[in-house]
Amino acid sequence: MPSNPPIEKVLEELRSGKIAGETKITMECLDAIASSTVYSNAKRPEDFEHEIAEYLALFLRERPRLILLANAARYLLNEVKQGIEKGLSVTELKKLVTLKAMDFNKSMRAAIDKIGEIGARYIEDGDVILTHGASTTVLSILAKAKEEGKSIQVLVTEARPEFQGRILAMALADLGISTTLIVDSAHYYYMKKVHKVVLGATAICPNGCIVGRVGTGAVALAAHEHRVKVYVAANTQKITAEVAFAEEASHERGDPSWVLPQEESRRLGIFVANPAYDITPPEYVSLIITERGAVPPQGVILIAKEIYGWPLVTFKAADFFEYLA
Amino acid sequence: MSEAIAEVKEVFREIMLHVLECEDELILELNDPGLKEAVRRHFENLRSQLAKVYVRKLRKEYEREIKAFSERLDVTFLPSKLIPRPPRSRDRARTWIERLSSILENYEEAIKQLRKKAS
Repeated sequence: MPSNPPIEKVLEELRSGKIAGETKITMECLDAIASSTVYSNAKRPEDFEHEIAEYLALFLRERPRLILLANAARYLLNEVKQGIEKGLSVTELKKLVTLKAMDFNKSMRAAIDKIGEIGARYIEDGDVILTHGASTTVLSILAKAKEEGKSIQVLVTEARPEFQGRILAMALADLGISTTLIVDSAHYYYMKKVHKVVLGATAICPNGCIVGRVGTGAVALAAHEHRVKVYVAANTQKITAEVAFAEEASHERGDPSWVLPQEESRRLGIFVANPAYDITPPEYVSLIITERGAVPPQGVILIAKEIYGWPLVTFKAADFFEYLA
Repeated sequence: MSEAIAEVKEVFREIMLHVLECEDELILELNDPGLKEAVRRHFENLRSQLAKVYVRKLRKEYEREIKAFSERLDVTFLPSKLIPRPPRSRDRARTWIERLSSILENYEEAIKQLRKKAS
């Protein structure tokens, strides 16, 4: 592979942990891809596609579990492939990659506002809404509903042990929304008074399963039992083609010291478990609100197909390198 | 009350009982009232020393618990203590969305940084 300073720089930063956070990493990788086109010596469009795929593979090898990065890669490759089909030259493809990389970065920022706009349509004046933990897309919807003059009451679970829900509660209260903070286990108690449940998601599987902050499944189940509508707000960049991701994510553990200091758990001889995510089956979800519109969980696959092409390219370790070969 | 404190109390109770038993046995063995008085004074002094050690130990354990509790409080009151409210003049919904987004992106590190800034 020819030497490519922007790619090498980001790879180095990924290895040293200098850049952190899913969005930031994805943006840096896309910027590097956009700048890398200047250094490309590819003569044929297929060589160029291979080169871009190789760079993306290098990034993904460093961060194999970043859905956003995998989706950015999937999106770019799909665009390049379509460009080749349209008969674009290498120079035109270089321009296309730079433009699409910038587009993806821009769309990440714009998605939250669009979700807020679409989601607020589902909120009615006088609604009592329950949400679990903290999500920027949920905040966007509730802030928009308030801006539209709707009077709403929001119940926010704390999301122990990290208490992320408290940050959301503080933000909502600061925006003038009537907010009640409840302990996680109280969601069932309050569900009979709730009109709608609005939840965030970490990932959405093509079959409509929601990977969310632990406790999401329990809240959705309680809502389902009380015939309360469950809306999941997430941008399309959270749709993952890696079906196995849900399985893997469900095994991911948070730092147990958030629950009990390590020295104390050792002294008492207690094993502390702090699962990070759980999986909510599509049956418990009424609608998934994305920046492209609200769809039932079963419709996620159509959105994925539209953005990332079909069949969905998976980036799980061996699969991806096979694809490259 | 934590187990550590309960353990300190239990151990001290046992030591005191043992000391009292020893004192009683020794005094029963002695006939000379002067000697008896001297032994009693000696043991009284010993009990007072032990009580000092007990109080010190207990205080240390309580302090440890209070420290751990305050650390938990830092987490409990995290938003209001660590995150400032956006100024009225700005688009507050946007500011909150951006702020929440950057915190959730890398939660543990963000909390560490916020705590450092607050302290």
